[in-house]
Amino acid sequence: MIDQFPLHWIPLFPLLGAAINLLIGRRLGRTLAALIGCGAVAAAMLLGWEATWQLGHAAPSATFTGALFRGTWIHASDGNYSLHLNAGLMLDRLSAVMVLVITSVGFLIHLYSIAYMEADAHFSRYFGYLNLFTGAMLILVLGDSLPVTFIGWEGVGLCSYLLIGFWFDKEQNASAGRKAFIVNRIGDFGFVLGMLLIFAATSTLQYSDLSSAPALAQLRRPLAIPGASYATFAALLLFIGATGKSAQLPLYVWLPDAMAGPTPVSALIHAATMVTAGVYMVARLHGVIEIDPFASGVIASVGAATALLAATIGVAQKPIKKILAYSTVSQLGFMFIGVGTRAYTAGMFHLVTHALFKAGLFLGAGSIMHALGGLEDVTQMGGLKRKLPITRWTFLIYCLAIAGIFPFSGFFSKDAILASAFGFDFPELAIWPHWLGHAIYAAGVTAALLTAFYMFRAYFLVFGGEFRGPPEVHAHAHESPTAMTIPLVVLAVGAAGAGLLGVPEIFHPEMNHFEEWLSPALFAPTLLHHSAALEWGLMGLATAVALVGISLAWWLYGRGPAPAVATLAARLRPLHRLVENRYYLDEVYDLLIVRPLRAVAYVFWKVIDALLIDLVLVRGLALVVDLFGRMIRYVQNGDAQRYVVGVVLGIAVFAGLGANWVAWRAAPFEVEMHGAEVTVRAHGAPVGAETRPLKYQFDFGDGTIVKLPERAVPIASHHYQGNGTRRITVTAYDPRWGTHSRESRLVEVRTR
Amino acid sequence: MNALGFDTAQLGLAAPLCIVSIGGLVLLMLEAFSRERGPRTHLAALTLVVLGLAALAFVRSWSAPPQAIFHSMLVVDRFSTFIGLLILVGAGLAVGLAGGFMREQRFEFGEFYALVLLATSGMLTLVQAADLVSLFIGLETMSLAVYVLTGSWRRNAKSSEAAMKYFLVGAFASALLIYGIALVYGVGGSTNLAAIGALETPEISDPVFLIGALFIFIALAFKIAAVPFHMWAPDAYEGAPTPVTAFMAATVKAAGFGALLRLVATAFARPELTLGSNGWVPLVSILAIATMTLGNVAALRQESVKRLLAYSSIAHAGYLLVGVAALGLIGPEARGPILYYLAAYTLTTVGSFGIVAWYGTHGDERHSLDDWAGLATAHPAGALAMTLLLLSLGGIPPTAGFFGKFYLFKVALGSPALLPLILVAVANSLISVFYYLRVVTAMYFREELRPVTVVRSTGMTVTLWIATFGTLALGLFPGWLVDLATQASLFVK
Repeated sequence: MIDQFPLHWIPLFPLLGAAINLLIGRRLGRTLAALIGCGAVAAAMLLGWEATWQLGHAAPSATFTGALFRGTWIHASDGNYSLHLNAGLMLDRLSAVMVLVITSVGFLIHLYSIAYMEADAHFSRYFGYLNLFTGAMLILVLGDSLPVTFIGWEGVGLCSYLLIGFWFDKEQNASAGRKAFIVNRIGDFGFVLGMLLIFAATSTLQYSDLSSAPALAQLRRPLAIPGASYATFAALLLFIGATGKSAQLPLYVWLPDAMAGPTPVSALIHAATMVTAGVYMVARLHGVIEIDPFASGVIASVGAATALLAATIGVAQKPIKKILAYSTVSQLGFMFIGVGTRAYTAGMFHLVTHALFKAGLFLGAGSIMHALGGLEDVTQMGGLKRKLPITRWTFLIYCLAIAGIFPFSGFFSKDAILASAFGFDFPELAIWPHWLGHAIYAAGVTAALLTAFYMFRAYFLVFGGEFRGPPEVHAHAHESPTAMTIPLVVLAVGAAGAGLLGVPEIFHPEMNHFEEWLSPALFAPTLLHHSAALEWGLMGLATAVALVGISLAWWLYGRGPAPAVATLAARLRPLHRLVENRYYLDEVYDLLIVRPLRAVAYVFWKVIDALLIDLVLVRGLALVVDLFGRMIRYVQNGDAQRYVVGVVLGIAVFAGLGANWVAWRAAPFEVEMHGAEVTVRAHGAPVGAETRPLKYQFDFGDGTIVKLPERAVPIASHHYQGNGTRRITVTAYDPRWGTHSRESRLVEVRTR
Repeated sequence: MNALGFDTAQLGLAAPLCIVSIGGLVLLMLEAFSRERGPRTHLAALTLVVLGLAALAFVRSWSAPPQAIFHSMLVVDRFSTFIGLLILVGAGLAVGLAGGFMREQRFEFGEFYALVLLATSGMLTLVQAADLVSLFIGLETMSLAVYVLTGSWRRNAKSSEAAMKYFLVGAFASALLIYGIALVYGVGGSTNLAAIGALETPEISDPVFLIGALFIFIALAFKIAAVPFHMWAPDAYEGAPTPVTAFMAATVKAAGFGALLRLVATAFARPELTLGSNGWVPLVSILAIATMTLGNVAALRQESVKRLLAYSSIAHAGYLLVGVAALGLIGPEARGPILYYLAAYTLTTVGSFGIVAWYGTHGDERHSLDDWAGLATAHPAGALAMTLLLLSLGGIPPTAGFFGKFYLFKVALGSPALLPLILVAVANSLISVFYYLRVVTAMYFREELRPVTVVRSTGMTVTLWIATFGTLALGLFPGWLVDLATQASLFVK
């Protein structure tokens, strides 16, 4: 069933807000700029809820369609392929979830930003970018084909770049922005290639077509390697795109640096929404992705590796935003475990709960830094629970949610993912060892333990014990204004309660609303159901490791860093150094990729650019052009008579060419000699001029002249008497124009 | 049927032409009997109404089947409707520019509006002409009005000089055209395009006929300012009041191409006349190469932005001629891209000359490149619009100019024989970017030498917004216009 809903207004409101704030925002003043920025997102949010409400009352598989603008967007075809695309939008239950997250969390973050960015000189530019981001993200999730999604995909990338480098007057921030952009471009390259491959296989890029049986059959065709199909490569290429945008191994390196941007930006873009685009894309294209179990396995394994690796790094970071950044990378890894093990609802569920508690954590971190005048190092903080009561309580709720403590939201979503990973051993997955699921599960549980540990390490370091930083900073510390605390509270309610949307069956048979909502859009993938005992066991283990992590954190950091911390760090010195320096991965990338590229670029610069292009081509060409220009100036001297002369000369040239052309082309000839017998063959009238009646005259140089009538075939033969050099001359004569041309050549005559 | 010998219903089909012609005459009378010596805002408004009505009439006739009217003197089809609409848009934008410019430069030339309408009526006749006689009448009506417009700024010596030169050289071209028509008629016995197209071998290989055809071609090459028949253009474009330059660079060229495209598709469509030694494809190819190259190379060294744009518009005729050559080698599907290119060119040209008109105040037109230094700081919106328009002229996405070139070259690639032409065209676009960016660099990266002053006029501002947004919109959403152009290309008779 297809219904109409003015879907285009959902992204258009934020885009209009962006246009206003970016073009004339400076003249509007702060109040108006903030009003437009928040109002635009609020409007999108209301529309989004309304659309979802209507969707909920329609048939389960209903889809609303719309378009950014009417009419054809891309039309291209050649003999083999034809692409006809509209800038179409669609809203099904999957995109509805994303729209709600983007607009609702986005609205709260916009609200928070009013107070957070209050003192910034570029207030309206900030809101312009934030709105632009929201609009692009909405296009990404609402697009009904890969190219429309790609527009949004690139749009959010651009906004991410602009907002990371928002305070670009510091070189460090600007270069963090560049790093994010370039690393993302690598991923985008994969996305584009994947898109092209899908098009090459199926001749369509529309999601509705891509889930149809014929298109999937096309994608199953084998390609290149035995056992591999179009779908294998397409899925892996698209996943490369996802690793870029969603910060997975090996392309996650940009996300920690992205913390250079304003904190609400980190909350919105680098935690709640943009970085989940890869997860959304995998869920959206699950039909293509799950054709080859190899691809699913890769996705789940990369997710698990990332979740574990980032969690270990998170343990040893000092700036609060870095801890949260690595935590985000790790949690995104969890989501990929979910969608990789075909538990799409679980992956999406974690996306939603993570959006709530991670946005909250970032906003909380922002509130803390706001109170401490920009201080970021958690080892410098402490004892802030009295100064920042609201921030503290909400932060605690977020920490409990992310650690996976019952009944907070993270418990339910993480549990669903881990349960799915544990059973990841479908018969058709034979290409992977049967223990892969268990290995992923083990990595996930370890990551969950570390998550609980590093989050509560941060919590205790910030709020527990006594303040360890400069006393004057502590004296100025204060709770944030209402515009900042309201979003914190709202998000905390969400982070605490959102789990109830997806209560697993063993608690209550009919309370997994989230799965029920999504399953029509995700075509009810084969969900694995464990026995009740196993599920209780897995759940118990997850809760146990979370409690262990929290206890460990309490033991080590509960009242400020315990002496045991230093002892441990000293005893595990090499490991500690390794983790603290993020496994030196940035340095490895620098050595393996950045430096060789720089070397190549240097050669290109010096040899190709400076020498070849600048010196030879540019200077050389400039010289020629300059000469030419002088000549033109001489002719074009403003003298009307001379212009007319030019016209006449032009006519003469064209008329002369036309009149003589045929004869010129007709007269050249070939000579064939057999002893004294010679045959001369003229070229005759060129193609297209056959209608011109030509006459030929052959002069053999010994007094013999052969004349041919009009339209005769231009061949003549002659028998020479005696040896010697003779001149053969052919004259072609065009009687209509009265023009002729003559060709002659010397030949050696040798009779036997 | 009536005393005129044709069905009066045909008047309905000729409505756009009638509206514009009658509108022109009425405006002429209004000006003659008016005591107004100040700004003629009411005349400008009336002109826009007339143009709008004509456009409406065109739109209404879009779905009518193509047919010849007035004893096959004119033809009404989607092709002429498309170009006709372009001309009306170009004229409307030029009118929007003119009011503010004339007020600022203190020459209130009330006949301006009447003359624009009369020139437009000539252009419409030109693109609808199905007969060499009506073609000549259209060309002359257009040209005479444009000569006067060029010289309308009487106190400005450059304007008068430009008009004089344009007239002299133009008269020569008109003589050539009428001579060519006489020769063709002498051999073929008809001036009707379709009848000429039906001629057979003895006539069409007759040198007299061929010389006649050549003269007709050259007269049109003169109107579209193809090298070496372009020499009037830089002087006339530079000397004319800038809104007039915008008007003639855009619409005269569109009308000339309209006539040329119809000629090659009807009267000279036979293969012997298309390819071959006396065919028009080699002629057009040579013209194309010469026009692109000379236009761009000459623009490189210009120090006046207005003259630079004049040469640039010569170069654009060269690109369009590549399309005309493709038409001969590939067939009617090349016509759609040409029409799209013309649309993009019309908007961009009026826009860029419009910004030249807008920049500077009374007695101080800011034409020299040095004058443009620092515009971006003083007037970011104006500089941004100019940049966008220049990028469109250079064929850089996401602008209309990019898709114009893209579609044109893409269709031309269909014939291997055109590859050299396309390579020259691409090399030329490369060169052109250099001088377009010279203006951009001056605006953005140089300190202003003198305080920036601009004409303050709502009409001008609105016109420039329309042209700029149009250029951007056509670049972002080219699809619908491509569809329309494709439809228009299939209906030439």
